[in-house]
Amino acid sequence: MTKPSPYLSPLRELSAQSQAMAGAKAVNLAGLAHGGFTIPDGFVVTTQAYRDFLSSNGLEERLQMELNRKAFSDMRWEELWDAGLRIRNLFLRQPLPPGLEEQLGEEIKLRLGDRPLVLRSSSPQEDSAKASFAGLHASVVNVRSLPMVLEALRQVWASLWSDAALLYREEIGLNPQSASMAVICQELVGGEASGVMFTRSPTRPEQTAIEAVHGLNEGLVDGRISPDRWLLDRTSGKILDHHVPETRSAMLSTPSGGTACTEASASGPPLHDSQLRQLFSVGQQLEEKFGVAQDIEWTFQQGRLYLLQARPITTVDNQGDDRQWYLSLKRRLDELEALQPRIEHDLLPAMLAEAETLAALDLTSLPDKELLRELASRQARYDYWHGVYYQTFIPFAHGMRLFGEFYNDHLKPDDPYAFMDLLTGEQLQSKQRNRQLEALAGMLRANPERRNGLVGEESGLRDPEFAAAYQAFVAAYGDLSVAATGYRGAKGGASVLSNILLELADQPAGDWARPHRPSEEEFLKGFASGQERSQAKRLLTLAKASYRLRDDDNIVLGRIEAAWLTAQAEAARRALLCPNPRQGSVLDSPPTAAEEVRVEARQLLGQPAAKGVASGPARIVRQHRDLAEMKAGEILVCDAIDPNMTFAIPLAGGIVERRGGMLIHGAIIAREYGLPCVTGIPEACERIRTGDPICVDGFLGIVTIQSS
Amino acid sequence: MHDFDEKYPLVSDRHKPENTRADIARLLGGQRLGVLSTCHGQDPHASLIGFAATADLRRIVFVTPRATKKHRNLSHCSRAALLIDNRNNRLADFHEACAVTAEGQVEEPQGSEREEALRLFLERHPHLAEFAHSPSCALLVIAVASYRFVNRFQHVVEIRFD
Repeated sequence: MTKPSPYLSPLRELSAQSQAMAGAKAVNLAGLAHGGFTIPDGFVVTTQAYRDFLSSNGLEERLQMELNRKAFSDMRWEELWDAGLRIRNLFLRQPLPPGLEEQLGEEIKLRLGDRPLVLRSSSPQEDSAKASFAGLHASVVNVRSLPMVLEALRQVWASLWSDAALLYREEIGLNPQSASMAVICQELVGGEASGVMFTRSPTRPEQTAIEAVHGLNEGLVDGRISPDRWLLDRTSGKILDHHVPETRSAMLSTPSGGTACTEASASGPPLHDSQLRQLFSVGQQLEEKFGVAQDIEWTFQQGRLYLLQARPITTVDNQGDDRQWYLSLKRRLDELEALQPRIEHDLLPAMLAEAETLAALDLTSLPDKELLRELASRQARYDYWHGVYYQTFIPFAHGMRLFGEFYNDHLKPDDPYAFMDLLTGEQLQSKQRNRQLEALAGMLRANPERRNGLVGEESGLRDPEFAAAYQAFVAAYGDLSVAATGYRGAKGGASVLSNILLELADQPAGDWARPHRPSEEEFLKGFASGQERSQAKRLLTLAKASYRLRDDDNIVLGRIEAAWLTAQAEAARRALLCPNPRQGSVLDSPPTAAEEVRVEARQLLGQPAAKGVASGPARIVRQHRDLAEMKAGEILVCDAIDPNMTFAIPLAGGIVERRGGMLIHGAIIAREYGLPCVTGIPEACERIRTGDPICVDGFLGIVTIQSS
Repeated sequence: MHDFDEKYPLVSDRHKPENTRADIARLLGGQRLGVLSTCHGQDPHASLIGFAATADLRRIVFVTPRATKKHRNLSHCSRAALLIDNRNNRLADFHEACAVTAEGQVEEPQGSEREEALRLFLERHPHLAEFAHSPSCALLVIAVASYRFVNRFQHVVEIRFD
């Protein structure tokens, strides 16, 4: 150390008493060094630096306000991701405590020179956890300059509040008042082979498991690279099994910073027998030193074994825990790029073809038995596609998030959702349908007789030109009727389609101009190096597809659901169904009876999902048929925007949704139409009533209900 | 605890206007929140707000969404009162706590005056930056006409600026 500092401490000087200031990981590393094992040289940025960073920027209260917008128990995983993103953006934009930058610069120069570095989280809270939750916090690998260190430091601090950490907040004892984060700054040892060792295999306690990859262990730890796996007898060290992966890849550091994945299939196994024996021996020594089985990360560089981390093995029971599903949604850029053609060229066309086949079948001509068979088949097909939606389409939506994080890391905008402006204006299926809807409304607007004719039964359809356009719309999209989109039973007159058309026709022509989209060229010009620009372009391309398909998949799945509901409606018409058949997703329970003492909501806090302010009467949509009553300028209030509902969006003045998230279908649609939108209002449909004068503040995420 | 009292013993018992003024300044400087009273016809309303006062005590800045009842009331009647106190919800509050009620005309400043008011507000409430900058919010200023300062349960002193 140049001079004593409350912010920095060399790793080797830490002791067991240092945990509150240096975190569990750093203290364990120091323990390894004291035990004679080789660790990469480095120091720790103490929790005092984190706390001073918060206090010098007034972040404590901002953090608390962000985390207390609503009860955690009411938050969906998308909302946790949103909160994590906002906190990360907040951290990235704040200056460091006075003196820290200079001290870091001096310490790095003195201790590590110009060697590439790795910054790793070391949270004091992690040790209080009953189980180990690897991967909740960030590590930044191959950091090559002081500005990059300062950036990485903020990223690791912010990861204390990552969505993953928030998901496991109870297990890791995450509390805004006491939580803190130290950061280990070490030389990056770019070994030839790296991996993890479980001195006692979690599945076979009599064995030791060693997993190894070529290059850095970054890809192995986060699951991106499949390792070679050896199982050894815990007593003798004898190799019992060697599993070879289908392909071998390696994660290597790049000259400009960061890492890249390369093919390593031509290489043999990353470890030879003597290295396996050395590792096994070290594992035995560590187990003896700490008294419990160990989970050890290591790397070999020029034949020398470096220990990167050692901690007690813990197991987590994930049964029935859907948080693992959420964390599995986070796919890499290359994985998502590989997924895109499968979705766009295989799955969506197949789903669309099936929806059209189903819609073409005349259910009314089927005998009862066949109709019931068809109903069961359609339900099974809907369940199948719903499964595909969850397993494949939803993970693809992560493309927007990948881009958002990249955008914010590089541009540090005031608005953490500014990246969405680059994605709007895509050719969404729902907008194409609504343009045709507007064209039909335009035909009515231009001809009052035609318009008045549609008010009655079927007389509006006597006009051959309009009738042809109307039927063409129904053939393509269904008549938007009560049961479901895609239903073709109604003939005009009182159908939802007719009602919506009449309401649209009474308004001035819709403004279908695309929302303002910033220039992509300007965005890409902001990246100095060709490598970064290329990365930015790939991420933007992926995010645009992810944004577009987030709408399209909903629309097509809605048509499959519609086919099932149409069969259900036909079976119900023939009295073939038992009471309470399974309902579609739009349907909801009716409101409960009014209480004697009425408690009225006046202002509700949700998430600002699309900017703007709009006031108007509320229109609560619990069931599809409620949409038929929608009037221009009303604020659509619903549980969740369903693909079957988006045809009513051109009439809406704003959107309020119970389901939370900035990137959900409803928020995307709202942005496309320039409508203010607030999502994540618990019990929105219960607390607001149709006709209530409300104001949607899409800047702050507030819905105000005026007293009438 | 009454940090404010411990650090700055009240001096207003000496009955000098400058001492009362100093007490008010300390109370305003020691508190972040106050209760704003507005009224429209027969519809009174009280709401908790974050505020910041200018050094000369003549102006008090606050921010509110335009869709709120207080903003609606103010657009009909621009006079308002703001209560600021240092009670701690303890029995001793009856003799220990002090309170001040500012009363005046509420205005929405423009241009450089607005910038200065915003700077003052954010200096006091940096965590409310997003809120204060939101286009859906109004930054308002109470042009204070008078303060009524209360301590020792019922001891009341008034300062008037007009």
